[in-house]
Amino acid sequence: MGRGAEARGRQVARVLRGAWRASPDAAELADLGEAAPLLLRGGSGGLAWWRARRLTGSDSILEPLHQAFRLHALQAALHEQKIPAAVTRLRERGIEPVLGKGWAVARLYPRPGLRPYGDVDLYVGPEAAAAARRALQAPPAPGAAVDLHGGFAELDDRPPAELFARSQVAALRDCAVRVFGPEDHLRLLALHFMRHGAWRPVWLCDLALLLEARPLEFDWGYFVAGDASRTEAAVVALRLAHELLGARVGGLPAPLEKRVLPGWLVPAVLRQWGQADFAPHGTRTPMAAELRRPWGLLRALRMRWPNPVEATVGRRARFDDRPRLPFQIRECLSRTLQFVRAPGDAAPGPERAAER
Amino acid sequence: MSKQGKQDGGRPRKRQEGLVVQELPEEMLVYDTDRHKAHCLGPVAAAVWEACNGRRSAAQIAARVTAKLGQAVPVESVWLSLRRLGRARLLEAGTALPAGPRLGSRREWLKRAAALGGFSLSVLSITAPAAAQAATCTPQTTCSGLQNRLCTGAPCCTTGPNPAPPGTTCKKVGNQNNCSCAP
Repeated sequence: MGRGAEARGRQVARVLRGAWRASPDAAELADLGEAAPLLLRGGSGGLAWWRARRLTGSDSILEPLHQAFRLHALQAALHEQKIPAAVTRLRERGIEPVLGKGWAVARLYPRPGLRPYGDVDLYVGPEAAAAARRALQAPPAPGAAVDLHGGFAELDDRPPAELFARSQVAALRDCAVRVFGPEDHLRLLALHFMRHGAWRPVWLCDLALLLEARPLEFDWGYFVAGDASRTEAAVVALRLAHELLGARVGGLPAPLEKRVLPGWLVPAVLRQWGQADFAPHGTRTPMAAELRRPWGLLRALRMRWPNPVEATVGRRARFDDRPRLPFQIRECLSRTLQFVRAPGDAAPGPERAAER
Repeated sequence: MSKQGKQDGGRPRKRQEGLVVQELPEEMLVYDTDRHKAHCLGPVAAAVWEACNGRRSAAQIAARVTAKLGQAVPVESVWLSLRRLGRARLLEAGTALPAGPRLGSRREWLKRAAALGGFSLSVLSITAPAAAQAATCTPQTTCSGLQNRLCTGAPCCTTGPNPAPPGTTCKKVGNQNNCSCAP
């Protein structure tokens, strides 16, 4: 990692600039050639192709990106076939789920396949979580890979009744699917991006898209309401979308539009984007399994070392110019303690942090 | 050829079962859930496939496709497209293809296809580029190496060296000691 990773991350950022728009400018071929493996790996291959689709004479670079776009478009069709069954299954038991991330944001891109997603995030009130889990586990399986959230994760600083009142209904085939209101969804996506250490560039494209496509009546007062440290992280994420990807921030309230980012933040995100061997949460061998292998502990700790963004969010620290290393050490210790207390836990890391 | 195929008398019918279709402005993507194969149909091939209702001859399909695309599509293009659709198993099993010209070699077919419009006729197979991943996922090899109490619950990777079928997650299945990528 280091300067090389940062330079690669900058290429990724350049390729994705404006890629969520209906008619983006063409990307530079030189950037594409170098960044293609990272883009494919992070699920941004389709977006890269979208920006480069009118370039000619570069089939060896463009074809894998085009194939990624097609693959993601088919995966989207598969998901769209299965989501209604999962939603209906819950409704039949009197549980109204709210769909967030995934399809809820992918549907807003100019083409299916630009924003891939692997599972279906359904949010239900904490009181309904057990019944919802039973409903989804009952045979026959609904087919979709559902990530059921009992509670509203990063939005749990808001009353569930208000989340529901502001939610909207979107059509998916013959099914009416409830999705979060624009303010809640933007906040959820921003906090999710930051909590996971800003590792996936396509998540920042989501923020840029939602920011530019927000309705006229978007309520910024409500967007910034709630837990102050979460609000700061969300605002910082929006600012990152502007600085790294060129998201248009005109019309934002002054405190948001003029937010100055700490000097370490942009290089940290670019280094993360340019890190070729990064194994994100969910793809790692569980800690308990690593510990059975020689050198497993060291390897596991290296893979789980929190980046500055993750550590700042995990420690609920300010996004200021203080060095990040102390926060990273404390976050790592906190996760280690968490693992020691519950060694069978298959997913120590940011997923659990949100539920703390 | 099956009995059903003979009854069809050279009027092909598109396969309906076990396929997921994504229509895009430039092309049509078709995923075969039985064989886990994906195909990309160019505009002519897509229009020909759509027109295969089991009642139309090649000439009728050509007329329909011409009207739909607003450009003349000769019967030869329909033959070529049908041949490719059949190979991709996108036509119903046993469907009899309309009799076409006898073209011997593969080279002859390719030459003819190029002359008739290249990509628009094509039925490409979609392959997953290395490491193109939709979301955070567990590689199938990692998943199957985990004891069943450690299953990640995350979607399994559909690309990479040992891709799992789409729509599977890494979970405990039955009484198996190790986790599996299962629907």
